[in-house]
Amino acid sequence: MPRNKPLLRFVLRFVVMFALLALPWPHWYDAWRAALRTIVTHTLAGSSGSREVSVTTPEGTPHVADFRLEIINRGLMNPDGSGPVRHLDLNVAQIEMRPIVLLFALIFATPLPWKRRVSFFAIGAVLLQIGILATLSICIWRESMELLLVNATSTEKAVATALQDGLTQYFGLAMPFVLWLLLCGRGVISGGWQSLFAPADAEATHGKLKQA
Amino acid sequence: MHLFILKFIGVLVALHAITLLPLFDRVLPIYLHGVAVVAAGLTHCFGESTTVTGAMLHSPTYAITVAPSCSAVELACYIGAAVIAFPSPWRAKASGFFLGICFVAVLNVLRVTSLFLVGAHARAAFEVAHEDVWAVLLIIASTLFVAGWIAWVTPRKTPAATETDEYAAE
Repeated sequence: MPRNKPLLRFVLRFVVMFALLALPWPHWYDAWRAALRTIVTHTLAGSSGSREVSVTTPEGTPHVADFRLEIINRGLMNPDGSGPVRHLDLNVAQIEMRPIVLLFALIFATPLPWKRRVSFFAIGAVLLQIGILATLSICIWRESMELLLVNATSTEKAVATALQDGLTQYFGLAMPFVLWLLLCGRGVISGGWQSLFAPADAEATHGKLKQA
Repeated sequence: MHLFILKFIGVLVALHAITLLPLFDRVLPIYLHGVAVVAAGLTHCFGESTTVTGAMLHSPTYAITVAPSCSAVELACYIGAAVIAFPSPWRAKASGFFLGICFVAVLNVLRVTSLFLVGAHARAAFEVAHEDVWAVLLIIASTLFVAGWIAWVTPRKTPAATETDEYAAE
């Protein structure tokens, strides 16, 4: 079999799946937005000491930011409700939908038995979601410094800013790739694409042939 | 495998750290200006009378600025980290890294050119093209570059190994 055939099949499957699922089709995207809102509301939003985090929808720039985390320090708020507020404006496609769809497309394009694909994706999606929430937690922590909810030196602020920038820029691209390699990619490093694409029984056959 | 992933994350952090250096802030505007100049040249092929000021492309009817966040540096870092971390000869790593940067630069010029044309002729579609279509295309392109490069540097298997039907279990 030509060397490039498995790779070509992988590429075609990946491109079709990712291109179809990563675009913000009307109801599809609404579902992702609702899911992220529910998850964040139940995990990161709420009151903790003086800090209050709530989920809202920013107005005016639906393509750039369609999900807002609002952070306040109740200790700094005036009786009339005015006071300093920090807004974290995010894009649901960038922070949630595309990373999970990328992981889905990478895993389901890899020719493994279906049961393994489903189980790998289930594990990967949970880990990815935990990573997304951890990224948002770090962003909230960084913004909390500006509201005096966290005492930080200028160095600590600079480190937190770099961490926040790095995670928001690279997480969505790098984390699905890393998870895919962790879950499916043993053969990529040890034996090239052929062994990545070989199912478990074919690998065993290959091992026997090599021994013979 | 774990070593590759640790290397990948380590190199990614190191490359990101480079983008935080003051020197990078001085180089980036030059690069963005270069992108704008080449993109403006390409728009001339489509009959646009585009001129460049700094990182801004403008014609009598439309203008866009190549912002630092549109430099695709993070994409180059991602490709560079995968190429450097993957076990391969240093010559292959160097050529992969160089080709990866060139690939991202060319892709970015095409993106800016197409976005200018979309903005000039179908302004309502600009945001969709900018935030959705090109975001998806860049992820696909970078993933395919990494996959293609890994396939290129991976040694060929023996005939016995390649005879197995890799889709048998599906």
